[in-house]
Amino acid sequence: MRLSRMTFTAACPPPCMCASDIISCSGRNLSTVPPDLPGYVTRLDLSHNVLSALLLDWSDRRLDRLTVLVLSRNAIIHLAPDAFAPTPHLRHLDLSSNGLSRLNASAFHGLGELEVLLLFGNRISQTMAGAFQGLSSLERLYLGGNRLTAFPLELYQRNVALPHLRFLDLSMNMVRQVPVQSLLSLATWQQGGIYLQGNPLVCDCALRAMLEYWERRQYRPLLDFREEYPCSLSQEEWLNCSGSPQGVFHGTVEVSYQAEPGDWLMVPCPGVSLPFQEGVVVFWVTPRDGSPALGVTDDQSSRLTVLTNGTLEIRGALRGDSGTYSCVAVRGRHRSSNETLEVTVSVGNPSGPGKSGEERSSGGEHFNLAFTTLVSCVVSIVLVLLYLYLTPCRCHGGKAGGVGGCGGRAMLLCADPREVELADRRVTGGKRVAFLETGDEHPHKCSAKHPVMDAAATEGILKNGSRALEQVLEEHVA
Amino acid sequence: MLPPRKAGALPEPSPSASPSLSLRRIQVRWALYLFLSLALLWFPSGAVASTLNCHKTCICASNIVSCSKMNLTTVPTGLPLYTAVLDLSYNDVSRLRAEWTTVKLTKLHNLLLSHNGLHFLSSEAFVYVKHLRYLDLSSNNLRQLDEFIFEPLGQLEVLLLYNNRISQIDRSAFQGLHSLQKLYLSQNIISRFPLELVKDKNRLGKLSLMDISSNRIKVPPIAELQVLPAWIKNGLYFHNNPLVCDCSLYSLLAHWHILRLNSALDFKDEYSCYLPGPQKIKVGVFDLNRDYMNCSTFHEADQEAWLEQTLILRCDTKHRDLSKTWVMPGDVVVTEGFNQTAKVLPDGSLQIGPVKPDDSGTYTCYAVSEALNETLYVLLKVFTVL
Repeated sequence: MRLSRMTFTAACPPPCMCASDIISCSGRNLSTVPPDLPGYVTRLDLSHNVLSALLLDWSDRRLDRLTVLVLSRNAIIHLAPDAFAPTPHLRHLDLSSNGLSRLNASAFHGLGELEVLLLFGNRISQTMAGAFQGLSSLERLYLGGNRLTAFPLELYQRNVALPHLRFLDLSMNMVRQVPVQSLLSLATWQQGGIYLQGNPLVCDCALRAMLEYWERRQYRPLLDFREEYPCSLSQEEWLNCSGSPQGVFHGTVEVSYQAEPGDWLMVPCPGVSLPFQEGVVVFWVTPRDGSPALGVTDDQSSRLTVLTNGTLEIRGALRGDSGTYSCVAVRGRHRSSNETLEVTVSVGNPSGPGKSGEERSSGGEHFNLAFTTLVSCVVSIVLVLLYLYLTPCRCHGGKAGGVGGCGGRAMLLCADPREVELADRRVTGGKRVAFLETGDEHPHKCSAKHPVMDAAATEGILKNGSRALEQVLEEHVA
Repeated sequence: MLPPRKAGALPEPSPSASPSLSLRRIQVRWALYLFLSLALLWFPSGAVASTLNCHKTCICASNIVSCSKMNLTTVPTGLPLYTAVLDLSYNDVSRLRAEWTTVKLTKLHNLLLSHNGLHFLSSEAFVYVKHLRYLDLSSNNLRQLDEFIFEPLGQLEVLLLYNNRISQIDRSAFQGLHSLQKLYLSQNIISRFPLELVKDKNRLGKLSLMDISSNRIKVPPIAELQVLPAWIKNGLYFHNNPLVCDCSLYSLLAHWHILRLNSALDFKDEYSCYLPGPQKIKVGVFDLNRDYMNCSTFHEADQEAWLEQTLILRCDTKHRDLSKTWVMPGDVVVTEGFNQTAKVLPDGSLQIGPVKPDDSGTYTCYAVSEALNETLYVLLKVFTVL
């Protein structure tokens, strides 16, 4: 049974401006939220004010339809627990450029539909455990320009439950170190959305290896912000991270392994020079997206281990071990980028490991797609040119059907001058060459083929406009 | 030997040239030099626009660039290609030229330009930002909307134009906005109800909210508004206009109120009109039935049909994209493969026929989605010819 609906006939709160369901109170020097906000509001803008806190019951009624709340550029230092209880259906919350320094555990309690949360430009130095709990729909979280010193790995831990977090902006903070192995253990779609540019990250071998890996996988943060990440490409620095001093690669390494269940497999890390130095950093990313990455320092008693020389050892292969393994290590940019650095392992009958087959065919697919697009472009251009220049030019004068029977060439030559003018005004961006109205009002005449005979023939003026007109006048005079 | 020439003296004019012509040449030459030096003086300061500076002029958080309240007179150049949100509100960008960006910003989804004193929009202003989804031009000085001004924005969903000085809207101003869902034109000086946006062949097919409240509309097209589908009427706000009191206006709004459409329900007290006559008395539209004009409410006519006729019953819901189930008189649910006299069409309407007298009665439509539900009733009367 539906509850009776509250009457929402509240007027626009005086300091604000209202445009039906948008209420804008920005830039009005407000230190508190105006009272009596109407319940039908869907977008509320309180930016550019001097609010210092968001207290409980900042709205005296539930704002069930509010989906966007903008509180940026205020001076908010305090968010009361359950502050967002009046707005349970919020989808976009902007708290950027405020003075928040700590986020309490229930700060965002109840915002189960929130998709985007902007917290950049505050003074947040730590995210308390549970501050983001319950944001089960959160997809994008902006924490740039704060004072974070550690990577908030808890955002990706299962008990916090942010199952859709695919974009995390941590730019311009004070993070010096990140948990590389834990980050490599995240799913691809999560790793690919972590933005760390502008942090004072210390470039050690693990970080260098991870950044190389992310760049190879063409993750957007590395493509868009590479120069703002540390670990630039000087040769000497990375030589300590792998292999022999010359950094020369010796011999080739298998990239595809076929094994039977129960086999013991030794998979060396491709693309790194041998012999390995002690203490070199290597991680292996396993096929199952989101399963933990393996490192040298891990427990050596488990079935899959990484040896000190970087080789992946699989003791007792299972069918489920099939797939593509990536070895994350420092190799340096001078390595040609089309060299495969992934290893495919198939256990059992070679009916195809899912992932690498997919990857290869998707590469092939991409090429096919590009090729077919190019071919169809060329074909369309050729067809258009054919249509314009090779179709016969025959015009019917004065019929309601307009230029029926004419090709494009005729349309160009047989256009009415008024239409040409109108078309010109719109052709500024090269949008249209000629256009056809329903065409009953403008008799089209083509002087190239049919010299004008009628006395009332002045309508049809063409490209060779003046000559046609002279012809008409001459014929009249004659 | 030639006489020594004084430094700085001009070369002797050729004997054939007259003295006044050489003087003219000198004047022209110096005028040219003056002009060039002035041009050089002015040109750089005019042409050098500010470049994006993520540490000084703007705040950058990965793909969000916020340059709000920075005294900018032009859009910063050098905007990164990955920019998704560009906030230029509260500045002095009074003209949006064609070249405000010289490269395609394919990732730009939100462009905020409110409170800029913007009075000019180039017809090519949006050619490089075709993927915009949200455009805020509110609180500016726009006076008219030219034809095709928003044409490149095929993915725009929300367009904010409230609080400008718009008096003229070309009939083709919104052409090309195939994805537009919400259009806010409130607080302008519009006197013509832009019915073409919601009706007829050039209408914006996805437009579910059009706000023309607080304008200068006197006579809305009542008859045409009445026959629009409920999901459009639901978002058609025209309160706070200087409407002319008329019983058809009362009838329309009272009906919308009964249907619980947001436009009438949420702003009931803001629909006012001026009584005919020299005194221009302003009254609430919803008071017209009692106090002033004795208007009567619109009564939804029952659906009528003749024997053996096939007809379509519409489930005219306030929201779109609800899945609809029909129940016929006698609590018979219409299901797939039912006897072919009752069929639910793809758009949710119920096609029944040929009808018999005992098909008369109340047909109920239950419309549900994840978040919403609506129940609508249609009363059908089947007449027999005697």
